[in-house]
Amino acid sequence: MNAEEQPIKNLTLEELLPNVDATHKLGYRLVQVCCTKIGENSFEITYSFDKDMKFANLRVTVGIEAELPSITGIYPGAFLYENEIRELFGVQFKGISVDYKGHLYKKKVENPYNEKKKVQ
Amino acid sequence: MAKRIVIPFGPQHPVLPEPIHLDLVLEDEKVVDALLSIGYVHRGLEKLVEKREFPEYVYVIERTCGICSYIHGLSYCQAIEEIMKIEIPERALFLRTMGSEYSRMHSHLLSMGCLADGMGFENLFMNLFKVRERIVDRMEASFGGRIIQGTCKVGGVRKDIDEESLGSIVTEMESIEKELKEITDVLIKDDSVKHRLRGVGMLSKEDAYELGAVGPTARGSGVKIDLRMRGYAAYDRIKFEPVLGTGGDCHSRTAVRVRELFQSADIIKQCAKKIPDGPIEVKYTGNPKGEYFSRVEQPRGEAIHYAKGNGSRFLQRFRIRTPTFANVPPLIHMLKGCDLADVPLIIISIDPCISCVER
Amino acid sequence: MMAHMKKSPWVIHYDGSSCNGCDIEVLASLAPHYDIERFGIIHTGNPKHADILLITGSINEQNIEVVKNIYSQMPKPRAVVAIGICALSGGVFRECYNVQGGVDKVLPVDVHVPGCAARPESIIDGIVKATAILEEKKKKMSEEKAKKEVE
Repeated sequence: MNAEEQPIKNLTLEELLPNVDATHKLGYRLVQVCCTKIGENSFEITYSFDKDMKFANLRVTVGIEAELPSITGIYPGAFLYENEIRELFGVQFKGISVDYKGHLYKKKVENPYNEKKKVQ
Repeated sequence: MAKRIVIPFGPQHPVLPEPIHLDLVLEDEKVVDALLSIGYVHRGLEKLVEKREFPEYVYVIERTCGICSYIHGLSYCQAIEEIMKIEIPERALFLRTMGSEYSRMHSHLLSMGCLADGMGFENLFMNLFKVRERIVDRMEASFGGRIIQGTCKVGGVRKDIDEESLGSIVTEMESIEKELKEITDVLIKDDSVKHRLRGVGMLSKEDAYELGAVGPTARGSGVKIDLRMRGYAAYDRIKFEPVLGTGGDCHSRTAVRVRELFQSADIIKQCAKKIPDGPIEVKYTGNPKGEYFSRVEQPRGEAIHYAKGNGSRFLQRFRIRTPTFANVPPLIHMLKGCDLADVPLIIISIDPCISCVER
Repeated sequence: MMAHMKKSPWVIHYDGSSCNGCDIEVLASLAPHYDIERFGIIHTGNPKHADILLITGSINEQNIEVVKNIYSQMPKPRAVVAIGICALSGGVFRECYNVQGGVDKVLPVDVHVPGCAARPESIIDGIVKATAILEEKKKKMSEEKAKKEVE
């Protein structure tokens, strides 16, 4: 077994952008953004970073009504992740640099990972 | 100012084996903007984790992508094993390493073949595929299948390789290397190929790192990201160095893949010589509870498999971040400012795997 | 086995929502080891030049229109070969939310090639079968034409 350290730092919504910015300044690259539905109305969004094989995570837990700040201003490559999360979970982001406005995938179900949300 | 026109590219296109759609905004012959639309292959297989028990979900995961299916399987198993703290026998780890390298070789040959086809170099395409067939045959004999292997499982591997075959793997690999040398020399040194690929699709080192490029796309620009250095499976007992290019163009990325072919051949030979005796799997009980990001190096770059279990037979969430997903922003960056005629080559040079991107 | 063939049929390949496995096997069957070109079959990128449509993978929400579009551009007589288990029924992905099912939901499929991934041998078999169907369709078409002329 060669398990690596995978520290996860829990943040509030306000702390997110300053922390991402600080990570960027330290020279980390964005590895991925992942969303998990952990409760009826609770989603945890994990931002993973890497620098020379050192892995670090930032995590915010929000409800569906929250609007997350987009990190595309800091990491321009993040637009696909954010669009995908909005598409699959219905979690909203504000200020994505390339905004697909919910048309990234064409599918039968509006938010397949959060099906209880009523489609208008 | 020149008149702007928009040219749709794809989803069905002669050089694309897979569907992807781009709206190319042109000013004369120059691409000034590229808008990507995906979704032609979106199946939603991450959601299937709620309907399949975790040991049998491996079969779905292997079918995320037919090219790097072995490594997808490995990575998923690794994530579950880390969560459940299962200790994998040494021999299984070496077998997994060999399987990964075989699948890297066949993937790189496929990608170069498609590149040759995209250039209109039909002969080179045919020759590369001829060698690839030898590797695929060996995969079928030793790892369980031509394309989808189904050998990795939680707790080890299913199929062992006997002593005799290990010997023949080494001798066969030497003869494959000889054949490869001849063909890849054309790909690297031929004047017409150089003329076609040099200076096309430039990606600087800074841009590659900033936009999150991985794999040969990043290494072709000189960014040292090779997840095998982390030493998962048996990579910590194998001697190798990440291959780096300097040019940052299509030629440099192709050259990185060529050198990685020989590196993979070398790793396979090292494994065949070093592989210890012993069991190939362990029994385990219980269900996964916890989370883990399993990071592996696929032919196209770093892949992340995130698994979160809640103690039941079904995982709560499973997510794959595939290498091509990370390589899309650099691709769009490269397309801006290129000639229309270079678009297909630039797309192929990142070795796109659309079924990975959309899952 | 190819005695019925008078002309060289061209094939066009479209990847539905497949995992790539069958696609690379289609490519492999074009390459020297399996060499489908010995039957005079060439791969083309243009649906207007093609006689046989090879589809791998299932049908999803977004590619349904593309598949219809490609088929409608092909000149008659034309044949459809569905390759791999996903193109037959959806395969392992049939329960996924975005998969509608096999190709026969949209197009009249003439030959089904099973397998996950389908082997190049069976792909070649399927295409050869499709050529026979193509000849039959052609015969039927000319008969109908003759009938119309008589009327």
